[in-house]
Amino acid sequence: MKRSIGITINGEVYEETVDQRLLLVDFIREVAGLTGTHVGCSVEGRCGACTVVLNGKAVKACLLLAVQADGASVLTIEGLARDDALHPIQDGFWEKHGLQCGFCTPGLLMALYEFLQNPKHSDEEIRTAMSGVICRCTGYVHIVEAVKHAIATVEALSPQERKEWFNE
Amino acid sequence: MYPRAIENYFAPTDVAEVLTLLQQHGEQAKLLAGGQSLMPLMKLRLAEPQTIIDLNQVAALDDIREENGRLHIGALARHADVATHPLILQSYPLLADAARNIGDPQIRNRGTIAGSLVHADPSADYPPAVMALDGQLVVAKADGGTRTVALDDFLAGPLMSDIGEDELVTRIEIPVPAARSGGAYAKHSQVAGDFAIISVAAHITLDPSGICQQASIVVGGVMPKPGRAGQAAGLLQGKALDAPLLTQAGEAAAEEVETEDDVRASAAYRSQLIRVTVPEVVRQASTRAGE
Amino acid sequence: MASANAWVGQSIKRKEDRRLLVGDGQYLPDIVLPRMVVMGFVRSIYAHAKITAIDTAQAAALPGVRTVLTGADVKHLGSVLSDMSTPNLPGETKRPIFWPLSIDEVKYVGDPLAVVVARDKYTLEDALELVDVEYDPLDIVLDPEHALQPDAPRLYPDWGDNVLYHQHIPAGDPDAAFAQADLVVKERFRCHRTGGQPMETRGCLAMYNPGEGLTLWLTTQRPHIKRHLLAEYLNIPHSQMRVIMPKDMGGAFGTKAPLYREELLACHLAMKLRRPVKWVENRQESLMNVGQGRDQIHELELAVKKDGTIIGLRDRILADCGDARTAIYVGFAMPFLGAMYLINGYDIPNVDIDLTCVVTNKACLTPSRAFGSFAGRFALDRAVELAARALDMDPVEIRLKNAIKTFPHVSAVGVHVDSGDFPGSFAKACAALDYDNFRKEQSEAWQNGRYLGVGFSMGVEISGVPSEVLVPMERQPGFGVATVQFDAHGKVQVAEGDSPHGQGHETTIAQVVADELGLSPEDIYVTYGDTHSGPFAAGTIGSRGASYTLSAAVLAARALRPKMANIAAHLLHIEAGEDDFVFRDGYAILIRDESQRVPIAKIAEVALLSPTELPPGMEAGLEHTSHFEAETAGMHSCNVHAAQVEVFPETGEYKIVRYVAVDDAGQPINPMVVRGQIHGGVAMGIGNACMEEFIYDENGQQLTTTLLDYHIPSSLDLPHIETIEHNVPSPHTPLGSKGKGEGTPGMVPAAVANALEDALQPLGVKITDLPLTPERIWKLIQAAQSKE
Repeated sequence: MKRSIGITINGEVYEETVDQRLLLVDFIREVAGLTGTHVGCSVEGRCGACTVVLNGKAVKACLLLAVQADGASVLTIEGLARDDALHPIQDGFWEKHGLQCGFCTPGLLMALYEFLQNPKHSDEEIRTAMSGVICRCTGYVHIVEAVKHAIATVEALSPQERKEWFNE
Repeated sequence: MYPRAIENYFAPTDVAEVLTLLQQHGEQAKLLAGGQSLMPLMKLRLAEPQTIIDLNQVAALDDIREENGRLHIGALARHADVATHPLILQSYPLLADAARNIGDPQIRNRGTIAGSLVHADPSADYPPAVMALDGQLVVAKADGGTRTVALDDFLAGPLMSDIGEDELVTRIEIPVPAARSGGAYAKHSQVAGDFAIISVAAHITLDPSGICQQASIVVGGVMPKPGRAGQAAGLLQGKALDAPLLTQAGEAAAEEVETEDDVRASAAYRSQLIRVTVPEVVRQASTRAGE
Repeated sequence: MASANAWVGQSIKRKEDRRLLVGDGQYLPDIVLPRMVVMGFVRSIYAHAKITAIDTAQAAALPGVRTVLTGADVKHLGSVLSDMSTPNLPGETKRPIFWPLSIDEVKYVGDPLAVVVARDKYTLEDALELVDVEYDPLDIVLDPEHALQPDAPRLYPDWGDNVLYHQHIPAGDPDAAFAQADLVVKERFRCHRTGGQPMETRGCLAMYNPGEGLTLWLTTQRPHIKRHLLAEYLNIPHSQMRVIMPKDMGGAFGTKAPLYREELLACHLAMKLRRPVKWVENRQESLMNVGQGRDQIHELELAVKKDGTIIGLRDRILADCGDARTAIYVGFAMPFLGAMYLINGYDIPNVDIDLTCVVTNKACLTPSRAFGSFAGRFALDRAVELAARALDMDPVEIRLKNAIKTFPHVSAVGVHVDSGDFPGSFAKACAALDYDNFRKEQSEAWQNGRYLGVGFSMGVEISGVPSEVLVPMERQPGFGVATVQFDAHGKVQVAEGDSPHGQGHETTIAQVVADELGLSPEDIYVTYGDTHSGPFAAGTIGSRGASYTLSAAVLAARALRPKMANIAAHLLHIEAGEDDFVFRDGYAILIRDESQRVPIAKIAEVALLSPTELPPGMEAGLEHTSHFEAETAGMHSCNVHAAQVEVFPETGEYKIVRYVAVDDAGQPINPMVVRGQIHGGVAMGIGNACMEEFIYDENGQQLTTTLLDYHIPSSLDLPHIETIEHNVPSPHTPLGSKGKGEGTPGMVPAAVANALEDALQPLGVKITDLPLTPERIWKLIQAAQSKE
C-alpha cells in the first residue's frame, strides 16, 4: 500500500514513503508543504487550480497519483520567481490586475508558463491557453492583458535570460 | 475526493511486462494511461482497482508514423501531440480537429488516444473521428497474440469497449487516405471543451473532377455509441457536393441517426444539430480534399 | 489643510498580489495544526425520506476514525435558528426547526445526517462509505407552484402549508394606474436556479482549549456576525469565541455570508474532542449545498401610457427557497430584497408587489452576487422591452423616459437612491456601440439572412446598506468601521472588521489613507478578518467596501490630523494647528514656510516611543476608530449595460459580439480595481444567465454536482467585456466613492435577452425564461415559425 518515491519539486528532491493512492497534489501540498498549488473541484480537474508543470508540461496535479511522479521534475508556483525577481508571467498579472482572490492564479500561471515558452499572439490562442483553469473573479479580461504583457516581456528577453526563466 | 486504497502499483517499462502483469492481476487491475477519465472515476469510487498498472513509463508507445500504407498512432500519444503533429495536420486534419476539441490544454497534455477510445464515452471527441477514418485498434494479448479490431466493433456501448482483462491496446491504425481525400470534425457543446451535445466527423474522397468517390460520416453525442450516417454518406457518393445535396445529406443523417434526451440537450435539438452540422463538416472536408 | 498627495484615482498595482503571485497566499485549506483531525459528512441520497436506521459501527471501528455522530448525538445543542439568526422582516414568516445534523427526516439530496471525524481525509472518505443509512422515501415537492397546492407534500407538517414567507408591498394607486393605461404588458418570467460558486469551497478549522475558548478559522464574509451567532448558539461568551477569516479566501460572492450547519458542528466537535477539527468542503458538496440562488417566477404587469410612460406595476413573485435551513438569510432574505429593489432604476409611482416564498426539497437558497434581484431585474427590463416593442418605441428612449431623473430619489416602495445620471450613461453606451449606425447595419443584415441585435439594461446597484435598513431587516448594523493607527516606525495599520477576499481593500484603503495622511500606500498596511483584532463590523457584503468601510478609514485618518499637527508644531517650537500644515510626501509641512517640516515618522515616534517629547498634557499614541454611517437610507450607483449579439437561428447558438458596461463608481479609488470588479460581475452574470444551471431530476437528484455539469464559464466562453466609466460622486461619502461589483450580474440577463430578441425580431420570438441556452432559443424560433 505504501511506496518510497522521490520527486524533484522546484529543484529540491523530496524522498518520502507515501500511500499509493496519494494524489500528486496532496504530495505537493501536504508532504512537501507547498500550499501555493490549490484544489478547487475535487473530482474531475475542471477547475485547474492544481495545475503544475510536470517534466515540462502543464498538467492537473489532482489527476495524477504521487507515485506516478516518482523520479519526475515538478515546477510549482513557488518555483516560478527567482529570489525576489518575479517571472514575466507573474509580473504581467501584477501589472494588469490579472487576479482578485488569487485562488486560481497559481494554476493559471503554471498553465501559461508552458504557453509562454512558445507564445502565440491572438486573443483566441491566449484564451485557449488559459482555458484549463477557471477564474470566477476576473472575467478573464485583465488576464488576457496580463498574458500580452508577459509575451512582450518574454520576447524582449535575451536567449540567456529566456533560458533562465524557462529551464527549470 | 480520494481513491480507495491501491494495493499494488506497477510502472512497467515495456509491453511484455505490462502483459505479464495483466496476466497476474487480471480483473483486479486497471491500466492507467493519461488518467483524465480513470482518476475522476477512482476519486468518485466508481472505479476501485486494487492494482494499478501505470503505462506512462512504457517506452515507444507514443510514436506517430506512417508505415505500410497505414498511420500508426501509439496508444500513449497525447491529445496535444496528435493535435500538433505535422503528419496528422497534413494528412489527417480531421484527427487534429478532434484532438484540439478535447477538454483543455492540460487535459490534452496528459490524455491519450487509446485511453479515450477504451473509455468509450459516446460524447467524446476521438471516437467519431477515428471511426470516420476507418480506424482500427491493435490489441496485444497476455498470451502473446495480437488482434486487430475496427473501432466500430470495439465500441460496445456507453463506457463499454471490447477490451479483455488481459489485453492492452498498443496502437491505433488508420489507412493512409487516397489522393484527394479530406476530413473535418466539428462539435457543438454547452461550453468550450465540454463533451459533445452533437459532434460530426466526415471523411471524403473526391475524383479529379470533384465528384465524391467515397464518404463516411459519423455522429458523436448519441447513444449508445457514435453512429454512422451511412445513408447520408451514400447520398454523396458519385455526386458533386453542391449545396442542395449537402442539405439533403444533413436531412438524411438527422433522420437515420437516433438521438436521445439527456441533461445536456433534447433528442429533437440533437437531430437539428446533426441536420445543420453535417453539411458544414462535409463542406469543409471536401474543401480540404480539393486542396 | 488636508494632504497634497493624490493616490486616489490612480490604478496602482495591488498590494495583496505579491504574496498571491508566488504561492504565499494563506487560504483555509493551507492551515495545519498539531493534533488536527478532519471532519466529513454523510449526506442524504434522497430528496425527502424518513431515516429508519443509521449504522455507524463499521465506520467507527475503522482504524484512524475518532468519532461518528448522528443527529441524535447533537440534538441537545438545540435548533439552529434563533431570533438573532432569522431575518426580522415585515410580512408573515415561518421558521423551520432543525439541528446541525438532520434527525429522523432528510429534506434534500445533500442534507447532512451524520458526521465522521478521522485522522486524515483519505481515511475519512473510507469511513464515510461505511456508514449505513436506511431510508423510507417520502413524497417530494420540487416545483414552487406545486408547493403551493393544497395536496402538495409538506416539508414542515406543522406549518400547514409550504409557505415560508409572504409579503405584500403596495404603493400609490396601482388599480387606478392600470385603469388609465393605454397599454398593459403582462408576462410570466422565470429565472432558474443559479448563482455564486466561488473557486474555493467552504471550510473551517475549529480549535478549543478551556483557557482561551474557541478559535474558528472560517471561510466567511462576516467574521463578527458569525462570532455573534456562534457564541449565542454554543452558549459561550464572546471572550471565548474568536472567528478568523484566513488571510486569503478564494472568492465568496455571497455564499460565505450565511451561518451553516457544518460550522456549528466543527465548533461542537473541537470542544468535544479537544482537538483541532478541520473541514474542507468538496466540490460535490458545494454544488449540492451552496451557490444556489435566483429561482423565481414573476408574473409581471406594466401599465403604460401611449408615450411610453410607465405608470404602474404589478408583480406576483414566487420564490423557490429550497429547504430554508441556513441561518441569517433562511432562503427568503434574498427574494425579499429583490422585491424591494424590483422597480430599481425606474421611476414607477404605483406598485403592487406580492412575494411568496415557498420551501421545496432542494438545497436552501444562498445569497449570490446581485442579492435577490437578478430575477426581478431580468423580468422588469424584459417587460420594459416588450412595452417598447408594442409601442414601436426605441428601447433607449423608453428607458430614458422612465429612468430616475432627479436625485436624491425615493422609490415608490421607499428605496433611497442618492445620485446618478442615466441619460449620461446611455449616451456613452450608445456612442460606444455606434447605436444609430448599428440599426442600419442590423436592417441590412436581416436582408442578408443574418441576425444581429442589441439589448440594454439599466439599474441601480447597492452601494452598501445603511443601518437604517439593516437593523430592522437583519438585526445587524450597516455602519462602516476602521481603526487607523500609527506604529512606532511611522507606518500605519488600518484594522477593519470585514473580510475582503479579492476586492482589493489592502490597496484601495491604503490609497485613501495615504492621501489623508500625506504618506504613500507603501506606508499603509490593512489588517482584517479577525474578531480579536478588528472592530465589530457587518462584513464584506453588498458592495460596502468602497462605500462604508473605506469611508470610515478616511474619517479615522482625518481624525488624527489635529493631533499630528499639534505634535509637529510642538517639535518645531511654533504655534500652529491643523490648518497651518499640509501633510505631503511623508512630512507635516508648515504652509506659510515650507522649510519648516517634520517627518511624519518622527511624529509617530514621538507619540509612541518618546512620549516625553509630546506637548505637555497630550495623551500618547496616534490612533482613531471611526464609524461611518451615511446620512441617507440608501446609496447607489446607476449603470447601463448593453450587449450586441449575432444569433444563428438554425441552431439557436449565438455570439455576444460586444458587451459594454457603463458603470458609476462615484469617485473610483483605483480604476483598475473597479474595472476588475465589473468584469467579474458581468462574467458571473453571463455564466448565470446563459450557461449555468442547477438541475434537479424528477426525483430531486441534483444532476449538476461537478464542474463538468455546472458550467462556470472559461476564458473561451466569455466575450471581451468593455468598461466605460460614468461617475457621479456620492454626496454622502467623504470622497464621493461608491461600492462596486456586488450588483453587477443583475445587469446581464436582460441585456443579453433583449439583444437576442432584438436580433430575432423578424422571426417574432419572445424570451421569458432563463437560462439563455441555444436550445431554448432554437425552440422559441421553432415555436414562432410554427405559429405563422
